Amino acid sequence: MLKVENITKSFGGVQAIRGSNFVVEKNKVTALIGPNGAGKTTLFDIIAGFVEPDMGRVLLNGDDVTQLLPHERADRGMSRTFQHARLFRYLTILDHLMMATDNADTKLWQNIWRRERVHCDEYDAILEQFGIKRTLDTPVSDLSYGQRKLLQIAMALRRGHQLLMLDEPVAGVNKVIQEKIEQLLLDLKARGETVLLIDHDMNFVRRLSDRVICLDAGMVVAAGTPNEVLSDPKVMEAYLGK
Amino acid sequence: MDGLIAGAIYSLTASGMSLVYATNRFWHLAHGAVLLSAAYALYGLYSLLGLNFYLSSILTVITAMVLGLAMYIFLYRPLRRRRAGNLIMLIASAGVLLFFEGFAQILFGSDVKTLEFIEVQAGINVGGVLVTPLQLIIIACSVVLLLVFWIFIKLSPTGKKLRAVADNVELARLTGINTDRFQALSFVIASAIAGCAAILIALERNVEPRMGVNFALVSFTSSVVGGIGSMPGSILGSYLIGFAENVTLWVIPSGYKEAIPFVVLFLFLVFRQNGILGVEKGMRE
Amino acid sequence: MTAYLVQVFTLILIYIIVAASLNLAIGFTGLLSLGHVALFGIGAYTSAILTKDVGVPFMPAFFMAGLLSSLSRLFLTVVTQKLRGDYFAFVTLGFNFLVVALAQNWISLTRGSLGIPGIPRPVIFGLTIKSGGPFLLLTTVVTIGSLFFLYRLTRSRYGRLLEAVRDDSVGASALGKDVYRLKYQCFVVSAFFTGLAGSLFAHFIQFIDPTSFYLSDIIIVLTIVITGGLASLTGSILGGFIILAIPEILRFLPITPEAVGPLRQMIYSVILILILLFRPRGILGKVDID
Repeated sequence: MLKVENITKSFGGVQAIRGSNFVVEKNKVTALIGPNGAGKTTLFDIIAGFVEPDMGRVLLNGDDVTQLLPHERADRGMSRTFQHARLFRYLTILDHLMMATDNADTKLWQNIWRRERVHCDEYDAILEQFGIKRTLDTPVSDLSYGQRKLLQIAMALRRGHQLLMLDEPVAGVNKVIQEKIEQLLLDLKARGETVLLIDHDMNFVRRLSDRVICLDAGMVVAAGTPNEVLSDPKVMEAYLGK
Repeated sequence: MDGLIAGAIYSLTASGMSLVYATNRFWHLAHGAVLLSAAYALYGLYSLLGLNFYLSSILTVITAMVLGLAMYIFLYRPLRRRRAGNLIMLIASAGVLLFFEGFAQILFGSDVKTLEFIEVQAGINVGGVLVTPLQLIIIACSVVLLLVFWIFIKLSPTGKKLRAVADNVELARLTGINTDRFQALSFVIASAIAGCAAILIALERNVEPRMGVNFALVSFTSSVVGGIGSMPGSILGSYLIGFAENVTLWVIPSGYKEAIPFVVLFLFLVFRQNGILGVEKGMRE
Repeated sequence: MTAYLVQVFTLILIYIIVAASLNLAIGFTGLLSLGHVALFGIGAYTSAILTKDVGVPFMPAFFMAGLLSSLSRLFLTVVTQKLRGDYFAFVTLGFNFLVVALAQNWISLTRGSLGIPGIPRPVIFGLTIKSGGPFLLLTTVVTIGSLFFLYRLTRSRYGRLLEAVRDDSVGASALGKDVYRLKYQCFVVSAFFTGLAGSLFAHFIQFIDPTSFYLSDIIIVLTIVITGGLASLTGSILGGFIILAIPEILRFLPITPEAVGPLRQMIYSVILILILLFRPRGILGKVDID
């Protein structure tokens, strides 16, 4: 599904990513782990097109997408979330979900002459499914941190997608929402979605993922099944320091 | 030669604007208003009230300093306390500039004023170019002022603190520097230099209401072209603009003169975003 | 007295079109675009030259004014596409100087500082629109049309998407939205209506010269937008009436005609500064820009 080839990136002399290679297989949940500053989010940004790599290629279903802009990659089926949910401060929950639904809103003329019918039931069902106990017309600035994260995952799922990329989906949220999100992800896994996620919590990763890739100082130090990787001495070393 | 004179004058106004940007992180367009008011103050004191020229000059510089400080205390500081963004500061500062332009027109009329302190003298031949003594004085004044300013910034303890504030306001505050006072100080210094510049401009050129806007825009352009936050850069940029304005007169009609700095700015922002000597500071958002 | 009021009203409506389109450009993209006086001027000159020198009828000239203004804005957008914040503001401001310099020096086309006198009255379907009431009617129709279009645009999903791009363009592009194309469209639409307003202005005053499109005019429009509130069309309409009506009082005060212009400029600046200091979101504004 996704192939990352020889990606290198440095920021002002500091090498953030040094020649990373890995693949994300179809219908599997792949976790990207590693200590703070290992370059996980940078790698995510490179895959999604927000950061341009110095070298290397990103392939989606065998097509080279390295030159494509973020929105073009999104249209090809990459659907991502951010560590801190990026929502639009003056808009409502409904606006967000509609925006994720399709790209009809980018068409200027169509929007001026026609008024679209909104199927609120459909959107209410999403809120129900994600356990967001708010009405559709709530401005997102009123949501809690956890609710924002839930909404963002809901939006990522709502988009037509092949590959879901979740950046620390459960970090910083309370126990209840954490369990809610984990349950949602297990459902996704059962449905055979392809997921690439970043997380710190080892137990969470073990329960959820089919494959684990460990990143340290911008390099892939281990890759394999959760048990293989989590018992790898190099991974322990990466986490505990040398 | 005209390019050199223009550059000498621009470098005074541009370095002040650059200093304010460095310590306050917004473009103080109303620097042009300080310049404008100082020039009219000189005209009023010397030509209308008939005061001694040197006394008038000193009063002019004081007027400029007070005005710059007042803008900081009554406008910029309250705005910053309300967490106004850079664009809001810019708009407010443009408002002040246009306010003073209107004010000058009402008080003194919109026609061009001349000072007539030094009668036009025959030029002296320096290396094949004709130079008036006044022009030499202007260049000398500009160089000396900037040198003093530069030494002050580099060597004095106050200058060092000022640089610390320019480098990183938060960090400077944490190390116990009263950043508010130094931000105010940068307005006073910049305005004092603008006051001196105003005297030179009044002597060499004329005093007119539109000079505030023109100089504000040229100073901004020079600072950007030379490299944001770099004083040598803004001086270099000023001379570049000064020459560009005059050299292009050979090829295109003089009516385009006001547009020249912007063409240069255009080219620099599109092709060389960091200016000649600039660092990447503040360039993106 | 009625004639005078009709005049003032027409002018206010023309400015409201400009302010509403400037609000679209600033309030819905978050970029301080200051080239609108130049676009207004381009519209005015286009229409004036086409009808007077080329002999094109009013209607095509009117739409050409909008179109040419849009094209100029498109050019400016391409040049400035990487710029943000202060730099975007300055380059668009500089655009005004460039256009004024062109108007002053391209004498064979614009007659330079002599200006273009005797711009013909608009003729629509064989009917000549006389100044006064009929012209006010024409202006009202154009204003309502423009405002209706802008209203539909900003209230649609498209408008909400623009707000999303303004507040977080990274988040919007992660949702597959082409943020650059949206900004282009927004500026081009904004420029189109400004150009139309320029055309109306030229045929209303019947004489234009480069000084009609000077820097101080941008402060009027900007004051209207900020007083009314960013991203609020109703605000811009309200702002237009308030801001443009205030200086009309000056006419009834004993001051010399030369002092009216500068005094008006001072009043606008003071209003602008007071609004920024004490009510940064304006009367009806909902958003902050930074």
